[in-house]
Amino acid sequence: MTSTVFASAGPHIDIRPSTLFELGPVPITNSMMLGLLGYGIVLAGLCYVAWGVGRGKRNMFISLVVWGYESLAGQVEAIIGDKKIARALAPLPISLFFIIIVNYWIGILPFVGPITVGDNVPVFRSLLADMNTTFAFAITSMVAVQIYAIKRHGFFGNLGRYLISPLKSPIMSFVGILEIIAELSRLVALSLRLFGNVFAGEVLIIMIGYMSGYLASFSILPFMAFELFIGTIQAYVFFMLTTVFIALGMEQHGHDDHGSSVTSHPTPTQLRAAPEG
Amino acid sequence: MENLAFSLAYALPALGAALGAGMIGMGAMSAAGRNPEKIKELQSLMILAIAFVDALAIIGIVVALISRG
Repeated sequence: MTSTVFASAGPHIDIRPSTLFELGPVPITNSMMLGLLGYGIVLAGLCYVAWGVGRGKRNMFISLVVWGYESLAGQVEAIIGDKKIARALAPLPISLFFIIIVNYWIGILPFVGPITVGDNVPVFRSLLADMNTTFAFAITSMVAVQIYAIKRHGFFGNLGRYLISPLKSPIMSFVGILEIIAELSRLVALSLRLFGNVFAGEVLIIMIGYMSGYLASFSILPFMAFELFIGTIQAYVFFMLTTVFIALGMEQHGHDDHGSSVTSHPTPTQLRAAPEG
Repeated sequence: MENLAFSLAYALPALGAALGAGMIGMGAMSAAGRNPEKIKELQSLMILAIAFVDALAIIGIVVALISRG
């Protein structure tokens, strides 16, 4: 990406992460290096919190993580009406939240990018700037949606959500086919949303740093703060979308007599609060 | 011409996303004005809806960067 205004070559921006070396048959890319660090931090931090909660210790870090977990679990419960089911399936979206937010924030640190090796290839690159990772997270979420839907409706009940017989109602059979396409489009949208936000943020910081020259240390700071904010929002959105898709997969029609139906709207708490009649 | 294509590949989705997010915000504000007790739930729903719209603009920038370099 050269330009006619600046004499030197433009900054090095790659969609794909570059391979640094190969461990046998497996290529190790620069996003994997930061990914190891991110996963190490998440595992160490959350295992420490679990150990601390089991012992009854409370310091600021443990209280912070516990508060975060409880508020997110409250959100899951508000979306999936049933409290027992919500507590059982809350760990998946919440783990995704913590992994995404830690990996996003680590990618903002100053050593990510400038340390290069060989032909201006950066040694560290954010894990989420690798489309493989975000695609893997999206596949995890959508497979989890299907698993919970199969647990709820049974295998053929789940197929019955998509393949409705054209003899019963021709419109609903077409809608069923559209539902299959919608599942695939949700997969692509989840992965591309996260990847696009991380990649666009990286490109923004690189270009601002490149154009500021010697003032880069001051001009990049507001954009790094903006990236922190966007990272929080994107992690929360991924968590929320996973939960909403699970709730949509588990919703039941025609079981309105007992109040534990799993629907997105209105939630049973609102139904119980509304005056009858 | 290619620079125009590169710019439009992001500008048009961003236009759509800006209008869409504005309409979502308008709907959320009217709903909050009618029902101030439910503002917390409206806020979650609004953020969810804006994420759907925002993603399309972000896919636009990724397409622009891929097709250029």
